Amino acid sequence: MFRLKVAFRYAFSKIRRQRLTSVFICLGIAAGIFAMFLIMSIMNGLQSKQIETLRSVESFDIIVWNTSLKPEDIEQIDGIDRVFEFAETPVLINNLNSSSSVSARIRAYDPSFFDYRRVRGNFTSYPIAETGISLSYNIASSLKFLGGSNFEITFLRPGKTATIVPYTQSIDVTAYYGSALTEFNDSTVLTSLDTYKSILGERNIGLGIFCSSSVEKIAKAIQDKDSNAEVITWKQYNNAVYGALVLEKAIMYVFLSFMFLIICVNLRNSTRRLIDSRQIEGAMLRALGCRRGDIRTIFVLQGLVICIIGEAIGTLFGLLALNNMDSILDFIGKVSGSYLFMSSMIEPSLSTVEITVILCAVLLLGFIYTYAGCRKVFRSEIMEVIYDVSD
Amino acid sequence: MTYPIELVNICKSFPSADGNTPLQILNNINFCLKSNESTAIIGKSGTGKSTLLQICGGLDKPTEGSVLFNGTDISKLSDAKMSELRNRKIGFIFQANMLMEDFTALENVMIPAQIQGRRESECKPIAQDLLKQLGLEDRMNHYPAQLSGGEKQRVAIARALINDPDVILADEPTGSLDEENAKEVEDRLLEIVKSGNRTLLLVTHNMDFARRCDRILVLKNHTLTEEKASK
Repeated sequence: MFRLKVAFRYAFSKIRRQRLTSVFICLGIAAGIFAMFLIMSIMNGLQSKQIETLRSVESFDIIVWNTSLKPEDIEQIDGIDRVFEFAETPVLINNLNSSSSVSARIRAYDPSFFDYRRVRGNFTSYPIAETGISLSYNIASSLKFLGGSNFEITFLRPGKTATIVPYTQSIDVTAYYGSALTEFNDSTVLTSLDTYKSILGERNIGLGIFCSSSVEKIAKAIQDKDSNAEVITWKQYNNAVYGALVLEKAIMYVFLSFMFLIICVNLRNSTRRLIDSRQIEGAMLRALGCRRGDIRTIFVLQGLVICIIGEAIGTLFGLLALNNMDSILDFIGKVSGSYLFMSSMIEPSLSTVEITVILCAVLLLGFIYTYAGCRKVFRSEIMEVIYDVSD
Repeated sequence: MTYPIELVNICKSFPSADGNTPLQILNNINFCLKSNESTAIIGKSGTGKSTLLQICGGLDKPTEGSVLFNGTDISKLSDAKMSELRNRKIGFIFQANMLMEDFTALENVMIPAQIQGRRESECKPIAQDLLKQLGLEDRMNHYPAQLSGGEKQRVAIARALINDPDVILADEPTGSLDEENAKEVEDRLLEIVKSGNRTLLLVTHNMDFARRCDRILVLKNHTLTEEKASK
């Protein structure tokens, strides 16, 4: 109890110089924790947002082609949230007014798809009109579309004399859309499933599945139900992008490691400064009969008290910032005039495990550095320390 | 016969600036302190009086020789035993009082007792009583920065006495005080030795104070000679 009392007194010293040392160390730790939380959560948020968009806009959780199964057959499997019919086929779109053409794929969904909770909000406008097609802003721009243009789409379909023949048909552009996935916007025009079927028939129609539990287990269950079906998970479908995301995550951890290294160096210097500033008290306590172990305990407790307070401040401000990211980004945008990140793009996320690991690691480092730093106090004779520091 | 403190062939030297010839401070010092006796060490500045006192209290180590405390060679004691000895048997009064700035006068006095493991409730009345005896009843809750030099020195005396030590070692306890405060501290220290079965060894430049002690030892040319022997 006495040791804890002394440690607290040292941590919240009456002496201005000592108090400032503690405050600066506290703030240093708080800033480090705050920065780590912020970077980690923003990067986590960006990644999960990207993956979520990918899974909803581009590829569902599972795509099933060439299956005889009906949506209602698949919905019976445990862990399935929703099943949508969708279609996809490559087309050439030609703007007759500007003589511009773009090769793209036409994606067809049932309109209810866009009301589904995991899809809603991933498109900037309601992209499906009852008839015609919906262009992304990128494709509209490539086609020099200024409104009122005449469009033709060309696609391949089975012929009477040849297996596949090109077929061209005029079509109206009835809507625009945008999504968070640039690649999707660059390559996709949307239409309703009814429009698609009226132009292309029942070809290239698949099932898009959203799951509420393990994707891999459900994919296996579907394959077991229909061994001829081509079952593709979102990871397989977006293999290249997913690989890039994994790489990005690895790089994020490398950056965080460097950041942690900087915190380590700062923490080491801070604890050394803390102990140096208390050398004379350490020697005094020894002169009064305190054992080395007790003095070490006092210094370690002092270091831990400061670390814990710094961590608490850093965690508090970090979590406050994460919960108010919208306001912060808006404020930065207003001040700088540059909206680099839209608040809708970032949904910061930080797990309890990540928070605990960071806090424990900093605390452990604080303990190790203070413990090791005490050696200096005990290296010299008591009076040597007192005279050295007094001088 | 064992003495509270006995110094046998004590030598102390420091490394010189050029690193060749060591700087000899104490050479073959032998003396013993008897119980219930006050002893003053006098000598010019830089002769090693404080070093000798610190060696007596185990705050510094001699280059050669041994310090016997009640017949036990303190150089052979472990850190724990040495700490216990400093805490229970020796009371230090430093020249610059060396109070802990983060603690009040009362808390400073209680520190040695609390190091021993005694509860605050147990040692607080003793500390309060000591401070009252030293005329500091209205300054107990003041921090050292709020006390005068004389008051700080009296707090340091109270701190040295809290564990009822056998030996009190005082390094120029009145060195930084004015005449009036110095006289007051001298009176208190001598009274403490007379009132209890304690031994006082002090270093001073104040000849009047030294003359009031039972013995006077002069440190000159690295050796100790007795100027006034006890009756």
